[in-house]
Formats: sequence, C-alpha cells, structure tokens
Amino acid sequence: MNKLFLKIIALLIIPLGLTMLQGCYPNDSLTVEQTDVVATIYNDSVDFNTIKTYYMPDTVFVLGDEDDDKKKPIENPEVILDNIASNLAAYGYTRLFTEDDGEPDVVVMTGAFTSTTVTVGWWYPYYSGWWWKNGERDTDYWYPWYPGYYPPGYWPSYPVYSSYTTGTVIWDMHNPNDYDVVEGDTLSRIYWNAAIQGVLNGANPSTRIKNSIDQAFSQSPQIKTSK
Amino acid sequence: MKKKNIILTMVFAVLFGMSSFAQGGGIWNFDWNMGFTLGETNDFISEPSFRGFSIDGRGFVTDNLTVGGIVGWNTFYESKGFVTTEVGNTGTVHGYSRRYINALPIMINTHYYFAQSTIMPYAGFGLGTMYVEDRDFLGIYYIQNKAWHFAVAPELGIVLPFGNGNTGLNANVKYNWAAKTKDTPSYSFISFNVGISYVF
Repeated sequence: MNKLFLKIIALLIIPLGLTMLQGCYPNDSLTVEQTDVVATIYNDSVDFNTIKTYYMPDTVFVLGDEDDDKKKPIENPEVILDNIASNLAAYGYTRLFTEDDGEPDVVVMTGAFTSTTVTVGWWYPYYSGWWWKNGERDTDYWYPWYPGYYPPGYWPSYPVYSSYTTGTVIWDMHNPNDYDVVEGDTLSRIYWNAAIQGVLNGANPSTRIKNSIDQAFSQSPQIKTSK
Repeated sequence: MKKKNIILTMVFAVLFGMSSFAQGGGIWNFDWNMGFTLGETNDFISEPSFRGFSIDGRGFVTDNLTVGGIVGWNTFYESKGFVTTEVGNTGTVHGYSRRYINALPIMINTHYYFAQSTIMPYAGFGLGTMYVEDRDFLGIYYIQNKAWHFAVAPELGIVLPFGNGNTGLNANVKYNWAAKTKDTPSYSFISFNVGISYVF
C-alpha cells in the first residue's frame, strides 16, 4: 500500500472513529426529568358522568415492603394528595371528608414505593390490592395489562434492569360497592388507575410530581364527570 | 439461529478470502455510510443517519466482474421528546421518547465494472444477512426487537482514481432491504456511501 493511501485512510478513519465513539446508543444520557413516565388506564365500561363524589384517605400508603417496621412514611404526602385533589376538582368531582357527608360514589387510594430494580412496576389494574412483593419480582404480576383482558399492546415485552432508584406514585379510583369475587377474594373494580414514576434524584421532586400528576389527568379526559 | 450465523460467517470468510487472492486483483472499499430510512422503517425513525461505516472487499473473477463480501454498521437515532401514546384500548403512557436502530449487514456481493479507466462505474448486488436491533425507549424503559434478517442490497457506484495511483474516491448509492422475520418487521433504507477504493 502506498503512503498516500495510508494517509487518506487515516484521514477517513479518525473522524469516523470519533463519530463511532458514542457507540450503538448515542444520546443515551437523560436528565432526571426525562426519566419521568406517566401511565394511566381507565375502565371503558364505566359512565364517569354519573360519578360526582369521592373519598380519598389522607394517607399515601407505602408499598413494597411487607415488614411494616421497615416502611418509611412518604415525605410530603400533601404534594401528592393536594395535586390529585385539585385535578379531581377541576374534572368536576366533589371530595367528601367524613361519613356525615354521605356515601361517596368512588374512593381514590394512593400509594408510593421506591425501587432499585427498575422494571416497570405498576400493578395489574383488575387485581386490586397492593400486590407488590419485595424480592419476588415475577414479571407476570406486574405486566401492566394482563393479556387475558387487554389486547396485546405495545408495552414492554422485555424487562429492563439498571441501577437507578426510582420512585413511583400510583393511585386508583374504585367503587367499593362494585366488585367481583375472584377465588374467594372480593376485588373492587378499578375505574381509573394511574402511575407516575421517575428517577429519585435532582432538586425539584415536588415540581416533577405535580407535573406528572397533571399529565396523568390531562391524558385521561375520559374520566371527567361533566364532559 | 446461532448455527445460521456461523454458517454465514464461514461462507463470508471463504468468499472474502477467495476474493482477496483472486488472480485478477481486487478492490478494497472503506466507506462512510449515510442512511435514509424508507417505508415502515421511516415511520419508526425518520431522521437520517450519519453514523455508518462499511468495509468491502471485491476480487476480480473476470476482467469486469468481482465477487466479494461486505460488513457494515449503521446507527439510526431519533428523539421526539416527550410523547403520549395509547396502549391497548384505554391505556395511555407518557414519557421521553428515544428510538434507535442498529443495522449490521454481512453480505456476499458481486459487482460489474463497466470500465476501468479514469472513471470506473459499477453496478452490483449484495446478498446475505442483516442483524438489526431496534429500541423504542420511554424514559428509561424500552422495547427491543433484535434478529438476523435475510437481506439484499443492490448498488450503483463509481470509483474515481486519484491520478495514476491505485487509490480512488468511491461513491455509491445502495438500497438496503432486510426481510421481515417471525417476530420483527422488515427494515429498509437508502444509503449514500463515500470513501476510499484501493485497487490492487
């Protein structure tokens, strides 16, 4: 090979090498905000126009650990509860606080957990209850849309692992008087279910939680009580 | 699947070796690839790729005809920022979208050189496999397709030799098509490739 050829090859390969340095997956770093995901699912057999009132406990339930002693209370639960409440108010729902206010049409329950294994972990909506089991992370449990009930969708066929610690807030709207009995358990039908999640890092968790809750509502116009 | 890869690699290695030592000499091409997606692939990622590279060895079996092989690598990337997507009938997800395609063609090929003078136009055809891995990210989650596809790549190009030397500028346009598999879609893109030809 002559020298000119080698020079030209070098000229060609050096910039190519630089381009290739980023590898198969360029632009692979995200800001913490870019890790935020919001997922919602509603029950299309429910007429949301008929629902007017709701009750929401003043607690964000801590999920993910069966040992109650290990559970740490959620910091600033009011950030979660107040934002859900204000969005529900904007969608036409009236919040009931005590039994004297009468029986609510639906109950809204909120929960939160952290996870260092980041496979998507929101539960399967028709199996109510807090199914999260620490350590037993069988993907079948948390396949968000159980194939028997929902058409096969687009959502994950592959679990993904990484070392991020994520925080997830989930809430659902259900009617305790509308239930199924499945294998001896009474399971309320979930009318609406939402999950927000992001990497636990960065300066503005409250802003991110608020933005994600707002997004969960704005992508669920079906649940408005007066459309 | 593994067996197929080994066989293809062997076929490739044998032909590549043959082409390099063929009595009529041959051509090595080192090309930078620019890719533009088509069809279904364009629906997935519409941004062009400037991240691609191929090495191509061709040995003359007659005065005008070469047989050889090519390996290459093309990376496509696109981010549409935050997106909201429906899932199933009543589900919706929202998150930061990034999409990737990595395509690695490994092919045997044949080319016909219409002339071998101050310009060397040629037409050719590649046949083999393309390993394609695509990822559709939402935040930190992704769905992945990966498979070895049957692939073909017709090509038109030209070599412009530098003076009297045995190197030249190589430029070609190639249609890359990977067949659909049982689990993964078909992929196609046009690539514009420029680089160096070393004629020996």
